[in-house]
Amino acid sequence: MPMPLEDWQRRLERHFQQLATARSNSGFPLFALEHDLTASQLEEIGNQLRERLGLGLRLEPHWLLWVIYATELGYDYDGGEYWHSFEERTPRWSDKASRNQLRDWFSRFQLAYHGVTPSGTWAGHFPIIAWPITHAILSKYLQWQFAKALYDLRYRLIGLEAMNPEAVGQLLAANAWEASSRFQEFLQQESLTGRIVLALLTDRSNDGQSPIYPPTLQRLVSDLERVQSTGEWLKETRRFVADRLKGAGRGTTGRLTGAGVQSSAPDDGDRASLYIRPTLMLRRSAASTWSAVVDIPSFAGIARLSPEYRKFLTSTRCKIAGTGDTWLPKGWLLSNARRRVLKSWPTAGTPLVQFENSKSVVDHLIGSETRLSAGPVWLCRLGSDGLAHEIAGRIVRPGRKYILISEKAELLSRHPFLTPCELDCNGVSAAVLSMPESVSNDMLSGLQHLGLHVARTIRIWPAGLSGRSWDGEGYSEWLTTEAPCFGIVHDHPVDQYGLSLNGGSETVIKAREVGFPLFVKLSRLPVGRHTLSVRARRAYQSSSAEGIVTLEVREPEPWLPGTTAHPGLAISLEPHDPTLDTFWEGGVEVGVLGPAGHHITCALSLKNASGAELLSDEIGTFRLPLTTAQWQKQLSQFVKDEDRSWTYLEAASGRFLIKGDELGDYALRLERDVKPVRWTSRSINRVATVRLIDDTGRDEAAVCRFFSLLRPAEPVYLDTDRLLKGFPAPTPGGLFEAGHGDFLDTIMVSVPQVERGFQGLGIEPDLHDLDGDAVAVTLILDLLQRWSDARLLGPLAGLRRSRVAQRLLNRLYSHLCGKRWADAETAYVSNPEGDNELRQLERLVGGSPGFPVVLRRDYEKMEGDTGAGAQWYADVATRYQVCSEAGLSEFALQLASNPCHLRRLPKPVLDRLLVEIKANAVLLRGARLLALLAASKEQGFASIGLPRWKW
Amino acid sequence: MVITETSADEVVRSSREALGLPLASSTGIDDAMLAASLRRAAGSLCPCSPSTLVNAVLESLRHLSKADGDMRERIDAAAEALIIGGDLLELNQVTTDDPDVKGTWVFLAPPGFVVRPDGSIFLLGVAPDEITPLPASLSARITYEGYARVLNPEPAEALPAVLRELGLVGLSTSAWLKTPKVESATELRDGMLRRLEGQPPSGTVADVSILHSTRGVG
Repeated sequence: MPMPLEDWQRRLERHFQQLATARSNSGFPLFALEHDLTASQLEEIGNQLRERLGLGLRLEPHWLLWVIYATELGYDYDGGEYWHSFEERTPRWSDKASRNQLRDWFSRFQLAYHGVTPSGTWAGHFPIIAWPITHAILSKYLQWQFAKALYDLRYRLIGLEAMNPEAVGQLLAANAWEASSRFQEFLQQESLTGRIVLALLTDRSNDGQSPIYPPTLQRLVSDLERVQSTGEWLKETRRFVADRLKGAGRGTTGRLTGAGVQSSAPDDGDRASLYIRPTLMLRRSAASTWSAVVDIPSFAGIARLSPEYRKFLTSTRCKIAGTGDTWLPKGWLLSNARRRVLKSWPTAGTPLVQFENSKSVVDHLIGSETRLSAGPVWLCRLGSDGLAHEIAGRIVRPGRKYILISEKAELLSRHPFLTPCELDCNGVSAAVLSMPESVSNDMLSGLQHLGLHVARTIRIWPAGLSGRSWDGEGYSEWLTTEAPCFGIVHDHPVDQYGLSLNGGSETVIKAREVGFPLFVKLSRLPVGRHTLSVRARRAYQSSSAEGIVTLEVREPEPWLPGTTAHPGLAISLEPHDPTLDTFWEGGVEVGVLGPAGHHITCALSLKNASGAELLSDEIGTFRLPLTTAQWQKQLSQFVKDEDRSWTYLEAASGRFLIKGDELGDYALRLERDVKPVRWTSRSINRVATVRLIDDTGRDEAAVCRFFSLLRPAEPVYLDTDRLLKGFPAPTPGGLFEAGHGDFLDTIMVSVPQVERGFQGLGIEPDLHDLDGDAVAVTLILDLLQRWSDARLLGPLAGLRRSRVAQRLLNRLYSHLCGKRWADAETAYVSNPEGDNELRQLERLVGGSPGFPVVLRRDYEKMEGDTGAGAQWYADVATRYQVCSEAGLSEFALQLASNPCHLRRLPKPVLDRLLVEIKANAVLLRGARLLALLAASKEQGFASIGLPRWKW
Repeated sequence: MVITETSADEVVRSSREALGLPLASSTGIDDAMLAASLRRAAGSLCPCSPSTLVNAVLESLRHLSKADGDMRERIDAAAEALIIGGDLLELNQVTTDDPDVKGTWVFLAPPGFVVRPDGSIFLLGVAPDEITPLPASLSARITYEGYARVLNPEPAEALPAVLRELGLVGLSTSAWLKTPKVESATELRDGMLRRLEGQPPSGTVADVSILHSTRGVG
């Protein structure tokens, strides 16, 4: 005989009351998952609740049981649609109860027992489902990622015992930036995640209270250990943290108290751990000519300091001073160490890394950390591998060979012991310095004049373990897990050595005979820069010779599978972190460098919301180097496949894989952007069905509109209730738009009419709604933006959208440049090789006849940096008296090449500029001529006629 | 933070410990230690030339062994073994920065493994800051056979699946043992000439003088 629900309710009220009382001093709020029920008890309660619901009886008396029931479903949540699975497992829920009722019961739990309140942006956007999922503590679908994130963070978890839950949560959130977007949203609840970490990794308690009720914690651990890899990761992290707490490292990194993840400027501790100092290297480019190369370390350390920095680095292009005007892709600095050839020597004090947009805190950091060392000379020692590496300490040794660089050529020419050589870098001169075995007094004084020091004959070197980045003259890098050893040997009598670390007390060690080394061992060192001072003394001399060894100590970087930690496979992606939709629509520029001729294979797998694989196909095999153009050509073939298009409809996530065999693999997680109000689509027997998901928790319904492919400018309002249940997309498809408050989602679904053969594939949009002079240009811009931003689903979706965009663009330029111009554009797009079509365009530009001629001749100046291109166009427009305002000229170029993004301008500004440009149509026609000429050289020109200029 | 004087033997012992090598089985610098030292140095130096790697390790082991004299040869042999075994990759015509500049360098192979016919597992590759990317329970089971690292599965243990789940790349025996394609002498010569032309100039080579610089070879 099962226990009645009333008894269960009373029993659980007592349990949570006791738990709340016991925890009142610790400050830890309660989770509904801390119910202490077994699986069979949960099943029994669930059966009774469902039975009662089916009978239409009151649910309110058992509100606490419903809270636990909803929480358990939150624990099993697969990351997809919570309500969909809730309603499937709870028949008649939507008829007899409501989501808001459940939210009220969770609020009641929160008030009655000091329960946890969902927090963070995600909880704000998903205000109802945030309750059961937050109260589930760590839903099963997040457990794998959670264990992995802790494992990857293990080296940074020293000092965990002393940290509060918020600081631990901040640390975790700041370091898990490679994780899925949903997991990152989960990590926004920093106090919650910090508690879970403390509970899992330490035996810490507050006033005798563990951060999580022990039987519940045990359940989480058991579930984590059930999967072998997560179990191993958890065990390893626990072992490592326990070892470090026992070891010397404890308490040495005060910065882990959370300061490192604040948005303020990094403190000295953070700065010391960044390692973004570029290093200089020379390599031969001809028999007696050298090239200067800078090695830029990964900026992953900066990204880890705060989500703010991470966002900045992944959304901002950069360039390297002295290497040309090329903007490097967003996120370029995060991938791994990169090398660039210096074409001109950076001006003294100029940061090597320059960002497209400014961010004061990062600029400050970059400004001070990414400069080359100060001149006036730079010394590089020539190694046996033919490369010359910079010696920061400017110490030279007899018998060695060096290359000296200086901005002042005369400085190098006045010394007879220097032999000039060519350095393929503007702004500096170079000379070879061959040190003789014995150095004359004249040479000694000449070297001193150059700022160089001749090394004394006491050698210090890393012993046993080679020093990372050891430059042979005192600089090396170490890990916090290593105890550095050094050997010391002298070739002249020394009585004793005095060694001190960071200016601390001196350790005196008796020296050995000449030529016999002694060894010293340091304890493990905390993160930061340390200096080991070594003084050699003779008993009868008051003075002593001193050498300094610099040790940069950092935490180890854990290896991340699916990354190339070596540049044998140098992969560039722009954007750095695309969504699945951006990737599928060809919005990612992929480039791969590596061994010439080596083959790589690119593949894509797609999964549905519950993680089942829907597709795993090769996109293509390429010979290195792979260029963006080759990539885009191959991808467009791949996505054209009709079967794949249908499969893509159902995909919730994907994985892009570059397989380089022995060079390693590179993997990129691709996810759909999950908005609180969003469209999903499924194909049932090749019929595309769209469904609206509304997780905003608001009482009023979302506003939904449909724009048919046949009437792209004419919206039809749809019944929201019908859309929530699923709605077959009408042939030939169109754009679905759902808006709710600040949230908006659009998808374009393409449904080819197969029964009409080839005719059914194409569409001809009817845009007569846009006829007439009274139609506002901003309306066309709105439509363009709406169609451009929509996610694409279904076969031929890309082609069909391009057709709509092409027609809308034609209307736009017809309004602004005149119908004759728009017709001439259409003729040119259909025959870009035709001389007559191009001449017609030139004729119609207007203004001085020389204006279009210059534009046609020099249009390639718009390639590369659009900033420089815009300046050039403004100059030409001024010269031919078309326009003297540089701002309006640039606006014309943007309107001619990327009109969609202009809707982001404030309305009064855009309206004023549109009036001005309409009054100066010559300027816009000139810009369009440039855009058409540039676009005609790109792949897919005929589809839309806009160039890929980057603004 | 303590500084203590130590002995050469203690430096070796401490280094073996840091490299994750067994302490009891060896008191000196054996092949396993040379291989582990090279892997560690490669983690920070690659891409680089083999000689850069060898020199870095040679310097760190100086004065630590009574048999210093043949140390360079031993390290050379270890470096070659790591390239043959697949821990390091010697790649030619590689472009890493400037598409116009190609070079021949040693790169790290990513962590991976090969299942041998007897079921034991040969570990390959390097994780730059870690001795091995494996958790301690698996690292402790690694046995060292000369330059190689081997894991033996326990009864009923699906070790390859575990390693794949940890992110290691599983190579088939045929891919691992793949030999270069058979070439005729002419093809080999032409290929080498093409590689030579693709190399940056060496500059002056010390202690080598060309007697007849205008005369061809062969």
